[in-house]
Amino acid sequence: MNQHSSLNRTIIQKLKTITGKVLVSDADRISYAYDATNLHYLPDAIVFPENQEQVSNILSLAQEAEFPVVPRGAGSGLTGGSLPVKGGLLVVLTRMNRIISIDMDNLVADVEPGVVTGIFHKRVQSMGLFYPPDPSSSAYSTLGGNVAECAGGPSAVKYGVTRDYVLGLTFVIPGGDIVQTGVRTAKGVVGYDLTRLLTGSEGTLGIITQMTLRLLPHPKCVQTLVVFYASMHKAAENVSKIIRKGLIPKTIEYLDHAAMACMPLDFPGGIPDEAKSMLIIEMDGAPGQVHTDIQDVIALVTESQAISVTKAENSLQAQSIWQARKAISPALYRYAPDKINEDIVVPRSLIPDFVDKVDELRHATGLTMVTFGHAGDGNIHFTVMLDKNDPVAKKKADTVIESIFDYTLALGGTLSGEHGIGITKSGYLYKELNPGEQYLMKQIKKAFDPKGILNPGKIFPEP
Amino acid sequence: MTKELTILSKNYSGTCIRCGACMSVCPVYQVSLEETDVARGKMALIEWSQSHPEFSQSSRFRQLISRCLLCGACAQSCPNQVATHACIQQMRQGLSKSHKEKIMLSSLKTLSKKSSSSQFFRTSGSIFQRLMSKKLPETSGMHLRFPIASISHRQFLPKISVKSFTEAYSIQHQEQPSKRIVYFTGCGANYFFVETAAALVKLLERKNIHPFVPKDQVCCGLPFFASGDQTNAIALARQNIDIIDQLSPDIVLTTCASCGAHIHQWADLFKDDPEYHCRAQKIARCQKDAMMFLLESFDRNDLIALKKSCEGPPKENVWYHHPCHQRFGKTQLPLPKKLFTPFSHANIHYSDSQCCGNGGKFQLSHFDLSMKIFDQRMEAFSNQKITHVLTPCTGCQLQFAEGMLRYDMDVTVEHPLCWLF
Ligand SMILES: Cc1cc2nc3c(=O)[nH]c(=O)nc-3n(C[C@H](O)[C@H](O)[C@H](O)COP(=O)(O)OP(=O)(O)OC[C@H]3O[C@@H](n4cnc5c(N)ncnc54)[C@H](O)[C@@H]3O)c2cc1C
Repeated sequence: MNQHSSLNRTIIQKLKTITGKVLVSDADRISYAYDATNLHYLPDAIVFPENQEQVSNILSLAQEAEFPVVPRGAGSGLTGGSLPVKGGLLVVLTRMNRIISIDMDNLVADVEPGVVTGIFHKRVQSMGLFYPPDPSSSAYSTLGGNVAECAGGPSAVKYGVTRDYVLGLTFVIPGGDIVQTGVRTAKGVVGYDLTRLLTGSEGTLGIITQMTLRLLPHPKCVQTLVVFYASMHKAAENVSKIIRKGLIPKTIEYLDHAAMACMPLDFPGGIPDEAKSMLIIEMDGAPGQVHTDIQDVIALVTESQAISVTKAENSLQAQSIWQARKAISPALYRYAPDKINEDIVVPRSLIPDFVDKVDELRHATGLTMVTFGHAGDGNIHFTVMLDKNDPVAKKKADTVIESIFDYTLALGGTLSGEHGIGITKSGYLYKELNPGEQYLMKQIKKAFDPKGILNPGKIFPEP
Repeated sequence: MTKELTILSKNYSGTCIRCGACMSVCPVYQVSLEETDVARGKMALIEWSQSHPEFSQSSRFRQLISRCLLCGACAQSCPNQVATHACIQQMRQGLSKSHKEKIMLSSLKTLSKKSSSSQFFRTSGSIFQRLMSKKLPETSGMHLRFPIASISHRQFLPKISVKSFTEAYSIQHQEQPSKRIVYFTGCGANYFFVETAAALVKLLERKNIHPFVPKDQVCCGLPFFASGDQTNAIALARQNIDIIDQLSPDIVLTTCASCGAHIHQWADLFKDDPEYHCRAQKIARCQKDAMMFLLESFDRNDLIALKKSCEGPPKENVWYHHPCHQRFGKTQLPLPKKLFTPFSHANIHYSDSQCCGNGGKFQLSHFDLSMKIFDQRMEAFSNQKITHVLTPCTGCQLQFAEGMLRYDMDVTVEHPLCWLF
């Protein structure tokens, strides 16, 4: 266990006067050393602030005593954003979990960062409203973590990502100053857009303490289709075909055959034996419109040699389809003990090329590769399952990732659609950002955090 | 296609990868919001303890491992199929052994020497609550729930029946029953809530069914199992298996969700004993919750005939609480809605998404936490004038009885069978 704590007894004492409770025991540190990357970095201490003032006091103390501070929501991140790679203080925001207000007239909500995404979804839905960003982890991720990572989800093809729903933020910067940005209105162009800058900043610029989120009226009707194909290429091709037709589904999820094998055996309607890939397509809106749209989609996929098309009979069936989809990512461990997971994005029309490329690499290396994800917006979760203790496999996988990234960028894509850079992707940052861009970003970071105490070691590779 | 992929020589699922899905279902985590309380935190601690013996012996570890209801919600929601609650039970077993906390109860020792069964029910000079010790056999897991020291926390103490149900029950067997039915009462219906057992027997009479209610049945053993006391859990299971198996039942009815669920764990206790393992499995296959039996064998008219006033405008506001032991694991059951549809005089609110926080001995060792979980549960009750809480589980029944006292609410807490009859 790490004995060289950056937090001495005096600091711990001061933290206690700020938040009341400070966890420092081995047991507590061990249970806050991971996130969903399953990597392991021990924090020196853990606090649970309950309001903005406490966050401000923590960051003022941290600035003065120069110790690292790492914000953490639910710790469901997939790139290590909430891991205390330099030790220091973990600031867990799960206790700031009040839904402060939901304004039905202006369709905005004020929330604290620790609100669980799924709980917020349910609450607004019970009022006939809709908050679209829906990462697969929504049952446990926090809204603060969603904003900090600019989380996306299946509905991004029609509704966009978290960024499109953040109207304003309150956050605390190192030193303890409280900054309020943004608006409560649909428009606003006064000054630089700090709200957008903070969104997706991975906890490196400030700790978000309150958010004003945009809501929509809840769509009256949703229908879900499951379509199977005998080839991966065909399914991928259908994605842009559907959209070219002028149909904008709420969701088009793509799953290759390795991903499908991770779904529960009781998948509604079953899985045809010859299926090699599938799409989950969802249309929402006014009932009449949804009905004709669904018919159009069915006609289109049937024409394109889909081997089976099933419509969810009711919301319960749709729910179990989504449950099966959400279970895939963690269930991939049936293939191998380690996972390398990338969430690249390519232009929608080039998904078939990407899928073919993966197939080519799969054959060339013999590695287990899985592709699935939010194909509607071109965001494909590309995953290699391997045993990292096998040096040959590890080396092969590293090369594969390199070529996947190069290929993605060559197609005009990007390295991360929604999971962020954190620590797992910082080594590849140079591939997408030129030195000029990186320099500007680092200057921005300095303006917010001159001493580099807030979530150090993230996004930018260590020199 | 999927076949070649699912039938891999090696399957790596079963290890916790810290995705966090358990956070969304763990009743303890949801009130404490601390990672040490949720399954993935506990898995991290267990992994750590394995390479750090000093930690594995620490009181902190013991305490953290005890902060779990063993409800099984995490295992059910785990996309990687980690048997989280089984790991925690195993840890408790190890801790229990290393602390020499448990020696075999004396009456179980005599039991294993094949003494007569009447002796088995005689009270021993125990240190337990006087009243309890008079009427409850030493072997009842209820002693773990109601030891002297904890009584001060609680407001509700169940009345102990003058005569246990099994003692009072006299067998009137049919000549040639078409199905051999055994009723395993569990301690709840045998000593505290005998009206539940009585209701079941009367209901069955309507169908001319007279179950076997073996007098020598003992506690299912769950309270011992849950606290890691394998020795007594095994001894109790063995006694029950002997007694039930010898009756060659077609159906073993239970009225307590927890006993019902634990019957399915008996086989796991006999991993090294093929004979008992096999017999335990056989019994588990026959286990059936009484509510489900009713659903299958009573039609609408049968049900209406049970209650005098079952029509008219709703007068009763009834809350149906679905116990964790019927929501997760091998003994998952649907809500028995059909049983209640004939009764328009009652508004039935079904609730199948939250734990009551009892968790057997958990409520005792973590009373405040248990009540916090209950408080969260009660939020759903808000501003509804509830007249009845129905739940087919002894633990849940005890918890709600306690809760209603604390909330100063005049509500009848009972087994659904009692309400039906
Ligand atoms: C099974 C699974 C499926 C997933 N599916 C998706 C998906 O479909 N789409 C998607 O986008 N992501 C997905 N994720 C990734 C993850 O859930 C998201 O990144 C989520 O937004 C993280 O939220 P969190 O509360 O867990 O944040 P954490 O993991 O705790 O933190 C994430 C980052 O946010 C920072 N942070 C947290 N709170 C604050 C705050 N209040 N102020 C400032 N910074 C803060 C942290 O420092 C860290 O850098 C998935 C994860 C899993 C395990």
